Amino acid sequence: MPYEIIDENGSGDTGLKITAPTLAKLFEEAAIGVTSIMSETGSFREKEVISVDIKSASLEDLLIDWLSEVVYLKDARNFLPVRAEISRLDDKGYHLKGVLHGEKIDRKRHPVKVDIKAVTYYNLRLRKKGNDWIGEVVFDL
Amino acid sequence: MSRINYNRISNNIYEIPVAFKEGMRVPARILSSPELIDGIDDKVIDQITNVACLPGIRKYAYCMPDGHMGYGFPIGGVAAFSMSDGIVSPGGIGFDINCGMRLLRTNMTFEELKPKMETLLDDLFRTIPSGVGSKGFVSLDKKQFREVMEKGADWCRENGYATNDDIEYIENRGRIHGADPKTVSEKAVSRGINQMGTLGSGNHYLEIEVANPENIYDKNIAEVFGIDRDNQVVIAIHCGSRGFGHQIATDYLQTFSRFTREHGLKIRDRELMSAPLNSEEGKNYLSAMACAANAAFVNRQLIVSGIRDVFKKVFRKSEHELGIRTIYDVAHNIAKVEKYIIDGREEELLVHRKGATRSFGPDRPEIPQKYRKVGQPVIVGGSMESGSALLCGTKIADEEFFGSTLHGAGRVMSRSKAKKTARGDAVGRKMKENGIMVKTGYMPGLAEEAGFAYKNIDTVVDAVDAIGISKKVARFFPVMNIKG
Repeated sequence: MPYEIIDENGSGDTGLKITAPTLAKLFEEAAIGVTSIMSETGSFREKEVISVDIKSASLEDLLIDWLSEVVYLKDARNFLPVRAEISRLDDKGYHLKGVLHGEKIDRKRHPVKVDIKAVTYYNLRLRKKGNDWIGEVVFDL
Repeated sequence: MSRINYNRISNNIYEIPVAFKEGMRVPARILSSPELIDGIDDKVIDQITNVACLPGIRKYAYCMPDGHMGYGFPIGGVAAFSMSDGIVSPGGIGFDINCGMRLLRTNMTFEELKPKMETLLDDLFRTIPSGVGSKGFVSLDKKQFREVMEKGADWCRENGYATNDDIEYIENRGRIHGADPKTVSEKAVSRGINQMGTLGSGNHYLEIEVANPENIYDKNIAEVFGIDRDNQVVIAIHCGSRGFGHQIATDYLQTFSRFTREHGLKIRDRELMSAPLNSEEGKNYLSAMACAANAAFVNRQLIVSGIRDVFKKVFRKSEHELGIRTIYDVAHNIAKVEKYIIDGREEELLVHRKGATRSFGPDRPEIPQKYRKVGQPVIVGGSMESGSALLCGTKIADEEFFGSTLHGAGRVMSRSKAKKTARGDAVGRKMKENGIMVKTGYMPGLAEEAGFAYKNIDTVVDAVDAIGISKKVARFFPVMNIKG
């Protein structure tokens, strides 16, 4: 599993730990991890594509802003992604371009779990270990 | 588990002196009890002492008895900052701006409710949307949503969703002044515009509860608040500003992050970003926060309107016969400008309450005339198995604790540990055996919100009663719960 759901002890909140061979892959998996906290990824199909273009102040901010975009689309467009493709990830200029494939939430077909309010900086980690990139991020539920 | 050498100020007040951490400007005070204090997480201590380092803080950084780990401030954190040299921090308010509690009284008794409980539960669940991807029953265009931001609950009155009485019994009469929609992003608007009148998810709920005579601690004050018959049915609602407020908090954490970088300020915790109150960024956040707070008042009021319609239909009674009236509506994630005496001089302060409730005592002009002799109602939500507590504000809270008290039971167990402890359907069955009907769109979530995942509400309520920052009036026990 490229991502696993982790607990934030002492809070009612949940996080993701993502391990991936590249930074772009880590970002892609993290976006789908967000969907997995709120619903069952297996129930989603690729019916809609949404483009994302984000510039941030640091690599960590870029991860937060990217996942915040997924949370934003869940409320504003009622959309959750099941696959993400990053075409550009500038780890010096902190610029990301990519697309999210997914569909609108349909409560008849998509089992809903718990809502994410926001992506937090709490215990945020993003580092390279050996050949892998590892990221940890906590969500306010 | 914390191993701090506290200065014991009294039986329920534990002080952490400024020597504990470099940069602390004031001591931190943990309001607790001998029973609760050992359970305080080290993260809470770290967070409340970080708060004590913020510029312009006055007197103490407080943590309430239900305190637990938050982002920036702990949940249960209260701190007041000078309007001239102080700051505002989104981490002192929370992502869910003006998350709060509404308590309604009714003319009904449990005996009258009982025969129609199943229909009532189904109709409420259908009418009040909850969970991921839910949309409100009121459709708003952008102009109307701007009015929601500016007018708060008054918008509901103008559009037939609130009575004059509702407005009278909402904190600040349901409207925080200074709301400026220009300080709110388009993203925040598009996240929130379709969600007015929805419960949300997580620990948010709508609960039907009963006031048994043996759980009325102060009959006189209970009567003033409208609890006036045996086994009376009351209704509790816990929710906030939904995606609108969450996005405003997210946006301004970014803004404050930029401000901190540009001004070369020290960062202890990125969730505790702040900006001076006299900066453009600080002022804009306060205006945006007011927009979200007003939207949250509207959100809870629309839910009340939906509940009234369901009760009328199910029980075939008029609004007058049902007597569903607002006891009070309190905000427990908010910052408010209030006046307090500091070193013998009255000072205007920005009081941050993050998972803490205002607890104004008798004679305060800000509370409704009807409650002015007894203090404002304080509504404390527990877990879905424990019900709520009704308390009243006190002069001790006003004089010594920035008019603040606790907000809930306080979580003790993570979600996955709760799910490992019991299955959601088993929790639901146990609740049914105990006379609580429950409905949710996410069954495993019942385990996440089970009673065992929270502190005992009576223990934390007893602690604030002993300190005197609010006094016990009544306890209500749940018979029906809709979990978001």
